[in-house]
Amino acid sequence: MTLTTFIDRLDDWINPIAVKELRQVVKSRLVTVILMVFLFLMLFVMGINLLFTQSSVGDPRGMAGGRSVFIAFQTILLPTLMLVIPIYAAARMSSERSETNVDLLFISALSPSSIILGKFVAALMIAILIFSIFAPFMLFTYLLRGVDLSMIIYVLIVDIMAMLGATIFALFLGSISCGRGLKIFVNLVGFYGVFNIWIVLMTYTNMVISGEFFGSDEWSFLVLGTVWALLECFLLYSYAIALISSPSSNRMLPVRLAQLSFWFMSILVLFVYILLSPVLGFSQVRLVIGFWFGINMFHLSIYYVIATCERTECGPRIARTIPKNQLWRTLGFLLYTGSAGGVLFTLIFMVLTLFIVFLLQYEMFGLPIKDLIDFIAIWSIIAVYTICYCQSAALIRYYFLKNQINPAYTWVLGLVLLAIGIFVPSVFAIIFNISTNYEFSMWMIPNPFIAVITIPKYGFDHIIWYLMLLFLVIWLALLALASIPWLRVQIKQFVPFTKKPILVPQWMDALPVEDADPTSIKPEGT
Amino acid sequence: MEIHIRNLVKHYTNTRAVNDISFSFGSGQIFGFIGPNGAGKSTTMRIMATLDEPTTGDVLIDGVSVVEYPEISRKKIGYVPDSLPEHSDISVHEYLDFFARAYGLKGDKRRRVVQEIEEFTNLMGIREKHINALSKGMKNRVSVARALVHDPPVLIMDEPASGLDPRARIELRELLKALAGQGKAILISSHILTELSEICSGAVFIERGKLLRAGTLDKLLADNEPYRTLVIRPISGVAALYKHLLLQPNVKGARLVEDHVEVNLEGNDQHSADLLIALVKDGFRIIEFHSQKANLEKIFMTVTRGEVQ
Repeated sequence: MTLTTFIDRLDDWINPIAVKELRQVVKSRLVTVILMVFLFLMLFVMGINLLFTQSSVGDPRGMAGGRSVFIAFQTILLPTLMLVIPIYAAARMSSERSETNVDLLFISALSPSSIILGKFVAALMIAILIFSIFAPFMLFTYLLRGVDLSMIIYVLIVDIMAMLGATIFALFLGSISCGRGLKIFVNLVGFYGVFNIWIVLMTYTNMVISGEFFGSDEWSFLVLGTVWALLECFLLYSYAIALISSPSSNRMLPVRLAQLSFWFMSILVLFVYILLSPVLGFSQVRLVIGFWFGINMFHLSIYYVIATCERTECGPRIARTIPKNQLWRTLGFLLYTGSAGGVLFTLIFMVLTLFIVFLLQYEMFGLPIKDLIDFIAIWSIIAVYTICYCQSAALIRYYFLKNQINPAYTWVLGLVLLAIGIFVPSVFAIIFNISTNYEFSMWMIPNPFIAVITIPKYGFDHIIWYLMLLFLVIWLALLALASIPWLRVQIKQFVPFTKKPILVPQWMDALPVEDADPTSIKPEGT
Repeated sequence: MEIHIRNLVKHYTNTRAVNDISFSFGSGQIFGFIGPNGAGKSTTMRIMATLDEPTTGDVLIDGVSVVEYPEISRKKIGYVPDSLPEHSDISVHEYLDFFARAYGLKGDKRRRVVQEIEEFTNLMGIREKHINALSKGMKNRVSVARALVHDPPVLIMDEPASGLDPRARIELRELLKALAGQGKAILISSHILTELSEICSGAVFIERGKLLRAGTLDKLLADNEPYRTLVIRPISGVAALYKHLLLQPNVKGARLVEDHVEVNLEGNDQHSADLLIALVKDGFRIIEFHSQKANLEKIFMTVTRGEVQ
């Protein structure tokens, strides 16, 4: 194979979106300007620090000159990777997300996953360009002393994971199709979230560089954090794919598969950590189990909201992929796009998550996690409130507002119910002149935020806890009863596609139609 | 290649955007898709392009259902939306190359196809220009070129002529004629009915999601007017011709218009030919003899009531 043939094949193999994006990047002056600015910034920071270090010759602190330079570089690199590149990626995604562009991509041979992947690869390429500027300077800090190679590698891995996470999150935000106002709001909230994570990571990496802690727990956190970041990337990638997929497609299948993979992979990593902890001396088992439980309940709660916004009718495009085999069809019901399937899928995994975390509390495992009960209770209560409000919204829409509200906007109805749950009891409390904290808390039971605060305040032996449980159990029981017809209809219609005969009107005159009997035609290649 | 739209229905939450529409067209035909704003044209076209799913009904493209086999159908469809490409920092050639890649064309074949399309759509001279620096007419050409990269036998064009200047419209018209000449089946929606009359071989009228009338132009014209209208121009003696025509069998009326006569003739092509032979035999020296083109505007005004949903 000649070099030209190889390059041609490579050219064909590269994702078309990545090729287009990189062509645009190369032509755009913005990226060139950013790279030049960073180069000069690095030179400036390095120069200033070298001048400072030179003035402190003889001072023992001069032996740690590399550390201060490295921290300065990290202060520039991390926000660039976590904020600048993701913002660029989100802007590019938003421009592609414009109605017509995505339509044109839909009807090509490109899959939604390759569109997102192409954008992601293009963002990675820009990150590599930026790394190529930073890398020589960062390596130079090693010569200035004060940082060792393991520390540099540790921080760089954290940076890369943060960049991957922030970029895929930005692509996810860029994939959301909504009005300009809502889009700006969503992006600002997302930016605020990433900004806070950046502050936490900045503080953490500075502490690591300063040598405040750097033991086996930190290495275990790096591994766990890397796995978590990769799993989150995978999950957000699946969400972004669903967001740009055609509404008539089986768009939630990749999300549920990703959710499933996230759950199983995270539990695998958790068990490996628990097994290795006595051997390698990890001391944060309680924190890790709590984090695992919290993050899974958080994802499942978010997914419950999404599930209630899914379509309740199975379109022909999905129906034609429904398996005929009963077992596979049952599995398909849980994984395919559809509100009832999504709700059942989420409930099953919420119960499994709770079951596992309770199982781990048994003494036979010898794990010091008894005091996790508060944490478990709070996350469980959040999940139950999410279920109650979202399912109520879904049922109200289904029974009373089917023709008025699109299923995709069930979350808005859920928010309205939440607002009623928060404000109406407050008004009653004011009308009845409730003054004591205790009575006020009772009135606030429908308010999930107050309920979450109440648990740590009054504990589990208090009447408010029991009243809250009673309130939620009754609500859940009513919802379960009301959901039966909703569920039954969706199960009933989840059947493989059968072609209905199409009537040909008599006046159809433009072409003879007798040779186009739709019941007898098979597509090419099938 | 035949395209059959069968009992197409599309409901949105509380709107019936398309209500039991059926029509057909085929290779080499340009069908105008005509209706007031909000009539359901774009929805129907989006369903045909596999971008939306019908509530019921189907579209069969060469026998392939767009509902059941969207992936196969997409290979047969070129879709030109009503908006023009607005990519920044990308040239015409790169844009077409990107879509050729997106349709899975590889290596030399991709390069050859893109070049052929650039030549066919007369884009060679501007292939290195950035898309956002092009005029509307040129962007329109790029849009059509993009829809052709995978050589689809069916073209669906949603308002391609809107906002174009007269030159760009003429160029687009010629391009469409050339494409139909290549055997492509074209469905085109437009508000400029006079232009559609010149290029279309058939038309579909819809209003409030319902199909009002569909068929070839001759059929539509025949349905709309009981007689065919012939335009006959002699080299001289137009007044004598007018009087003579009124005496001919099957002639139901005539009008003297400057240097020619417009005749309402009952019958088919055979009757037209008989009339021409009779006139020549009777000594009239005819230099123009043709059927009047379908007046889509007239048909449109007759069949629609200007209602939108």
